[in-house]
Amino acid sequence: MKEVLIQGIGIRKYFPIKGGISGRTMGYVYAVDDVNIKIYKGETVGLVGESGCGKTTLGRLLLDLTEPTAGVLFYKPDKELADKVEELYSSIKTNKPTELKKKERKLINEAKKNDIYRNKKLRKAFRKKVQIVFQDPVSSLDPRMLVKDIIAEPLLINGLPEEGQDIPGTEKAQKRTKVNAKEAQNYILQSISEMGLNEDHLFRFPHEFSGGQRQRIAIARAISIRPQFLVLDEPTSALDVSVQAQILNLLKQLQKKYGMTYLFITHNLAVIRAVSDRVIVMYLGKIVEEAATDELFEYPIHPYTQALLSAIPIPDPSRKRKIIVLSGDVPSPSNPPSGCRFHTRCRFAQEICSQKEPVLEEIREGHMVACHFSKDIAASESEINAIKKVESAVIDNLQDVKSD
Amino acid sequence: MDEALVVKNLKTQFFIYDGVVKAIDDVSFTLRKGEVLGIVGETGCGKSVTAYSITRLIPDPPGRIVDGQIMMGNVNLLRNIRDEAKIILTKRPKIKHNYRLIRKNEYFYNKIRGKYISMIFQEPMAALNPVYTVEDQVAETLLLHNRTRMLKIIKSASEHLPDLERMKNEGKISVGYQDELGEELDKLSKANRGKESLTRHLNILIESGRHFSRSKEKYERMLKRSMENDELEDKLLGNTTEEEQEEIIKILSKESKKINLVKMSRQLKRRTRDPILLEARRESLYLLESVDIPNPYGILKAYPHELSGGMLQRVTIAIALANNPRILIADEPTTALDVTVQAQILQLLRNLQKDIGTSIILITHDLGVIAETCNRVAVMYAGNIVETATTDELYHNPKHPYTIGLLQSIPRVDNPTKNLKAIKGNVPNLINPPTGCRFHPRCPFAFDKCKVEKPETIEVSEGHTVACHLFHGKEVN
Repeated sequence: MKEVLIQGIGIRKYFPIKGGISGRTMGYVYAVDDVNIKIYKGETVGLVGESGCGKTTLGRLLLDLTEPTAGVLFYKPDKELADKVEELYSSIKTNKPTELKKKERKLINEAKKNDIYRNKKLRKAFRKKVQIVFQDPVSSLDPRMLVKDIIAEPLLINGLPEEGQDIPGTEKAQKRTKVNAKEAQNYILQSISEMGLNEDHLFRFPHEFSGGQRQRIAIARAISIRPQFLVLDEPTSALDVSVQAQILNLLKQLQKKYGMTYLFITHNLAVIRAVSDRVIVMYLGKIVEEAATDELFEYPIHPYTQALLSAIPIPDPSRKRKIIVLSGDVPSPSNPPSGCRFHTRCRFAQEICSQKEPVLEEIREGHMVACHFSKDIAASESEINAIKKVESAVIDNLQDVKSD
Repeated sequence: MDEALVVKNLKTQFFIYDGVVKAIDDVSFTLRKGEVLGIVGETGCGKSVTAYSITRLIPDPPGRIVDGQIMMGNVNLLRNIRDEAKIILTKRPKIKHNYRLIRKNEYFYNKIRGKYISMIFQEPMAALNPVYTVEDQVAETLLLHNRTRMLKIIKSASEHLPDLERMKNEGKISVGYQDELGEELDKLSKANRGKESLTRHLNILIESGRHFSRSKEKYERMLKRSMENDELEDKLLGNTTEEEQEEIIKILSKESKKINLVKMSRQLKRRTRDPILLEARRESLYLLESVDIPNPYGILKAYPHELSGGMLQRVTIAIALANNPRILIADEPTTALDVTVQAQILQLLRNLQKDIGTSIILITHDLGVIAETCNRVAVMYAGNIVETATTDELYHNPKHPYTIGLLQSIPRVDNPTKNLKAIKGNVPNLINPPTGCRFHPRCPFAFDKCKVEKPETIEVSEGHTVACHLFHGKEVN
């Protein structure tokens, strides 16, 4: 059984829109709306979606960098507790009881104790175990610090984790040893060579580096405290393809070496396919589909995922593919459509879609889809795929006969 | 096949404090009529500078086109580029501009740009003016370059007013004419965008026709003048000797000098009852309809900040295609957009290209986009074109080590490999580019000759050219 590293339940973030002279709130941007997410230890989770769908906000919420509007966040949760909380949450959402039972109140109190958003002690320890690499390496490095200081700063403040695991579900965190300046020096030298840079780069300022090198420095800084969980917020979208490949390979090596867990946020589906084990697709602040990478790319079920996948240009001129062109733009997240948020652009949309909100359901093992017609689509898709397989087999046979 | 544009030995340099950036070094390529030519390469390899050089939008200072030829038909668009400025190459290069000549050339180029060569920019938000409505900006190009046709349409409309009135009441187009108005009505009936849109078009046509007949003499004079102008342009692009060209260009640049853009935009903003302005408005409406903008009549009155990125890019495409240009340069038209919107825009470009038959230069760093839209591809590296081939040939049989590296380093959706092959190193600094072949420090196949000698471009198979020493020996065999 895989261990859950991070679990969020019912996470929401509404950004208020301020207007008028008095600055009163005119409405909200529903950036992340009721998201349940589980990240297992040692895996790479890809988070995809168009711009403005809330993927970056969700990434920041999972690190507690943004104050959530609602929700619970567990780090290495006790499985029993987390399951109970999730159950309670969904039952409250559907039944909307006026008063809670005593047992439920007790559970909520216990959850609060383990919730990173609410327990300050836990939060402090949590911050030492998570890190982030930002999209733009130019603005995320301090222009007035030398590279050696940039990499050393988190290390000198937080120290290194000691051997031994922390116990799940308790406030007792893993112990950390302090690092003095001299030790830090050795450490930096080691880490800089790991990143593919050399010693004389240490005494330079960030502006003297190219984009790819800056991103390496940002990664070096992030992993200097040996985090368990690393959020990569579009780490390669500002880079060229040839450099992008270098950075992706580097990230893979580091993950293997230090056993980190990645949340890889990007809009580039090709990158997701190359890097991640599991993919989460977001649309307008909601998770619409979640599956293992190969499963998702071969059998996408949600109409949005299908359109998204079909829209990626494939670098092979002889492959002709059918593009599902979505009409129109993403609706404004401050006034999302009722029911299923995708129904305004969906080709399968029917009356129910604009009235009832679909729930995330498991269609196949580990494949979750939020769509009213997911079962129908899945059935028809598997039929079509079966036909395709037979067809291609026949064609292969024919070609064999010809060549003979 | 005919050539729409021939670029020969183009050299563009930027003179900055640190030295001379040799952004484009000896770039030659041809664009055939009706084809889509893709230019790929990494950031800073000179793709955009090539585009800006062709449209002559390089900011000067610091940039200058130093040498080269850009032939459109018979005319060399850079005919006196070397006289424009004298470059004194000392330790700190000095440039002596001949501003009189530069201004003259600029007036001439105003006639070319937007009419024969037009461009779609990467950032649609930055390409449009935030203080003018969409309508004003689309109409501006039309007013600058398309007066003759518009005046002819209005003139014809003023003669057929009763017919137009009848068609408006019937709600469909029933009469055909043998002139520009007839063509326009044909286009409208073919597009078939519903009764509401047709009534709008006919209303504007009737109104502008009425205004035309009120002060007929004035507009007749205007029409005569712009027709003379058009004749000159046609003559210039036909078979003429260089002396004749010089003569025509002189007249054209004088004509272009008279156009007062500030006055025109003021006129536009005031929405006067000038029939040409009305006609330009109608044409803008038609253009927005043709790029699949929902609610085009509402969008006409919108300011750029009210629209999303995809919509803005559609507006810039409408502006670029307003005068049916011979050559369209699309400089990373979809880089700032999401994949789903990118698919929409690329499909739109393909369809429009089919309808109008323009030649397109598509600049991008996305090899997937190239594979889907282009007929031929040129790969650029550090200011040189290193390989040109048809799209199929390039993807299935790449020759240059850089092209091979580029193709291997992209993560692919259809064929996932967990280990990407990266090209080691970075794009070189173009102030001091590597000697010999500029790719040799990153090339896995580099040998001694590469460091010394710059490889010449050779043809390995029909239509497939490579600039690499690896293939020079093979040609002999």
